Amino acid sequence: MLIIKYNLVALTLSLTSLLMVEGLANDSFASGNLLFLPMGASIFSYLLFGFGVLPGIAIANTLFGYFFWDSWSGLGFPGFTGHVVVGSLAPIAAMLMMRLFNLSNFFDGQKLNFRHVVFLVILTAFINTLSKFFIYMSVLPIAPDPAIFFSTYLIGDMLGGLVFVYVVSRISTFLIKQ
Amino acid sequence: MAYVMIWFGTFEVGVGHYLYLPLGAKILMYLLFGYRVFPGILAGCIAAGVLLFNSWDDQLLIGTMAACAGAVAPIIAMCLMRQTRVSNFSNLGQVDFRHVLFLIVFASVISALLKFFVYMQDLTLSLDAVTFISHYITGDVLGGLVVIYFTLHVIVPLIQRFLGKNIA
Repeated sequence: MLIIKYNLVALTLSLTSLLMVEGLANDSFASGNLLFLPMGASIFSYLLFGFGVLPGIAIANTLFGYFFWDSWSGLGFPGFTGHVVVGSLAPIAAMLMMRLFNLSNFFDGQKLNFRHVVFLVILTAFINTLSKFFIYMSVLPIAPDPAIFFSTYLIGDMLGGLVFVYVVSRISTFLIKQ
Repeated sequence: MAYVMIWFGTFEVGVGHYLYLPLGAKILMYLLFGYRVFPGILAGCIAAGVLLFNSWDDQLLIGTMAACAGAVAPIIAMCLMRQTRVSNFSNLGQVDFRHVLFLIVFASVISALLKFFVYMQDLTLSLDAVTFISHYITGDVLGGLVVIYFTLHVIVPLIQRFLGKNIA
């Protein structure tokens, strides 16, 4: 039952963050959003609840991409692969990589090590951007400018990740203290 | 290392080299001597480009900038890892070898992206972005691993044996 609760929280977080950036989003996937908060929502959920919340995040991405972005701007399955599969798995890949290379397990006792989370966000942004680049370059009707693609996706993922994790962790700490 | 590299195949700007050894050498030098060897590494990269790679297929200015990017990439990777305190390379004797492996991969990605941005400025080059980035990352990672492995498992034991005999 607990995992269902966690998945529901992750789904809500992801959907909320997607709704928050909806107005800032582009029509196509040729350039990214400069404050892609869903990246932070995914990272935060995985850190808080573990990898078990993958279904919740994937469902949120799928629902949003299908209904709000008109089936990923008409891209269909490649759009689904880029947004849902890569978007949901990139933070997991980054976290596993950091554990595999003995870089961090993100917690000092009970406390979240924010510096390590910063590196996690950067690494996730790189993995996410590169993976999406290889997928979208072959399927987009008009090939995107790689310079714009990389700069917008990288900056958007990093800023969105950092802002979301920082703000939500501050708010939750404040609420817990209250 | 660039000289050794061209024994295994030619370097082309558009696709790089499948065993780009210089990145491993740069990482090793930064680990051993710190960032102060940057001028030496940069000079080495430019000299190798001019003498061995035919001035980067006659793209001297862009090639020089790409060499700068290649020399800066490991510094960026190491700085990021130090600042976020995921690894500290200051004491080489206590560095976890897995951190060095990760550094090679991370520096390769940064190097490939920086070089791509540099080479894109030259409109005469028609680059395939996917081929460029994938080949450069693969070549850098393989080259870096080979250099580090060779150094740790061949050169260091040889030096130790030589010094050991001298001491005896």
